[in-house]
Amino acid sequence: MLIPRVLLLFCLFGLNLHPTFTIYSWSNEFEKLRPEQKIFTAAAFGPDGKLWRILPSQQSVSVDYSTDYGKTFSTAARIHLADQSIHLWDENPPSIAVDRKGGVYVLYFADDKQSSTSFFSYSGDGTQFSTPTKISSAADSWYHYQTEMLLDTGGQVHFLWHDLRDRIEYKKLGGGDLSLYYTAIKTDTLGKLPEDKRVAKNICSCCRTAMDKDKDGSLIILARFVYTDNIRDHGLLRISQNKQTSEPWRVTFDDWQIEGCPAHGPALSIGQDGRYHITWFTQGEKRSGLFYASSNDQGKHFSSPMQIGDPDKLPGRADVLALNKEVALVWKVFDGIKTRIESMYSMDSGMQWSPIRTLAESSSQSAHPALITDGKQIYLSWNSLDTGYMLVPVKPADTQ
Amino acid sequence: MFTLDENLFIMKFPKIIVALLFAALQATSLTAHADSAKLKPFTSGSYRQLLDAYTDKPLVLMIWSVNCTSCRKKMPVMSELRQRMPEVNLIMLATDDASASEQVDSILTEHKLKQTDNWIFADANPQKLRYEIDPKWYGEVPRTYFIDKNHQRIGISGSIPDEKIEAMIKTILN
Repeated sequence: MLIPRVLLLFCLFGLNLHPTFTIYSWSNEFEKLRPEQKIFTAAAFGPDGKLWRILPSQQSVSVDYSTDYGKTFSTAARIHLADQSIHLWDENPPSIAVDRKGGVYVLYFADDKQSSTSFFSYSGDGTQFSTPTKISSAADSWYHYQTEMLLDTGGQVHFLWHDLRDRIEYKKLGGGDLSLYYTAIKTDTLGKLPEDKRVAKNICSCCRTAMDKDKDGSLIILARFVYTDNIRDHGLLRISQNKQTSEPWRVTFDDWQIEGCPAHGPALSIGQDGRYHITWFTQGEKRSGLFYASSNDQGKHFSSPMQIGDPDKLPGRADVLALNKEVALVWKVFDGIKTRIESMYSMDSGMQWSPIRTLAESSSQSAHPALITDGKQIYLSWNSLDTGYMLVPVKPADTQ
Repeated sequence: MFTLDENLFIMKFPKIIVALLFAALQATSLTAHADSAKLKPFTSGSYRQLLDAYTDKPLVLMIWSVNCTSCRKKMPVMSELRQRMPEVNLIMLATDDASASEQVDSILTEHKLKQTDNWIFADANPQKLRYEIDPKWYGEVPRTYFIDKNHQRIGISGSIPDEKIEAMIKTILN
């Protein structure tokens, strides 16, 4: 261990090398060891077609925008003036959302009293942001992460996260899983977040959770649960408009038995027609690989799982997004040298799919692919160290 | 890009100070850190080097992460096995980024695993490192490889029952 040794050295030998300066340099070097935070961007369209983007660095998070679909970006506005140790990773990305009036909502993670604490900030117009607030009511005492943020058309911002605060309870049960916590705030009364509450137990700790709004206004959550005998398959749960939480129900039956961390969460999108579209990864007894399925009865039954991608190229990290009857799928593949983002497109709510197309590629570290829409088209939003940020339309040019 | 390489010294300090520091570090290692093995950076090519370093020898490679509860639960067993079966070459590889080095170090110390051959991922593209180890591995942890002296191997994802670990070790030792 480099740094403790050096610090120890000063204690033991009292070397007179301007220790304040030297230690400062060393802490800077140590900070450089954290992987590049700048690749973990997130983007969302505003009502006027402006593309808003989160731009993280090692010490801060800024927001900029593009009026030409990602070709050029504005000067960035810094969210918090004081430096923070930004702490994002591929399964723990930031979020951004823009409301009908152009208000910008941002979620990001920084080390605080606990590692990778989630912070929320907003701005009426994207120029000046509120002082970031911690989302979890137990943020100072319990590690929590993989927070997701969803802005709905009814003017509410929903937050959902993985929380370790019930750890004692899980120790009795054998350990290895945790709880999902939830809170929501109305955009017209932004301020202190309402008290959060547990909405599900026995969640696989390392796989991020997905959520979307059903057309009846309820919030639907898709998570990897830990079922009996360490089966890590997926379940849905519903939080109704009056905040009643349903019991979760299981929707994938692959029987992936693993006491371990898949670090590979699912994706969910609910179309305006009410159809649920889900993607997930498994290495189960019954099924192995990356899959897509849809449901037209609010998640009670799903179509037969459709395998996605070439199984020899580690297909994973899929995202799905429905826009009217059109549905886009994107996922990552890796051939040992290059990471590619591949896609398929459906014009009929996921019944038939286009051939696979490669949308982007990188030879360096990259974030997970994400799908966003301006209400007219679906775009891939992706970032990697060697290519920089990319916004790519997903719909094949020859599709009618 | 990041590295744990001690070249960091050279970039920052004049050579004479570097020499002094290294000399002092040696002394420190011998006294205060007599029982601590160095955490090595696992970069592109490291897996090959690792196999070369253990030519004709069986080994157990346990890949783990600081956030993986199941991995940490298995550490006392690995530690106990290492003491009881010293002929087993145990290699521990943490898939955390290098900024977690201190945490990795303290977990290994806590479980008396500092004397094993310890590594940590140290490449900006962890996917590439995973692929070099095993092109079929998606990155789930713990991932344990039982590798015989001919370097034929079996990889298992997830926590493995204690008796199975012992049976697998006996298989690779034979």
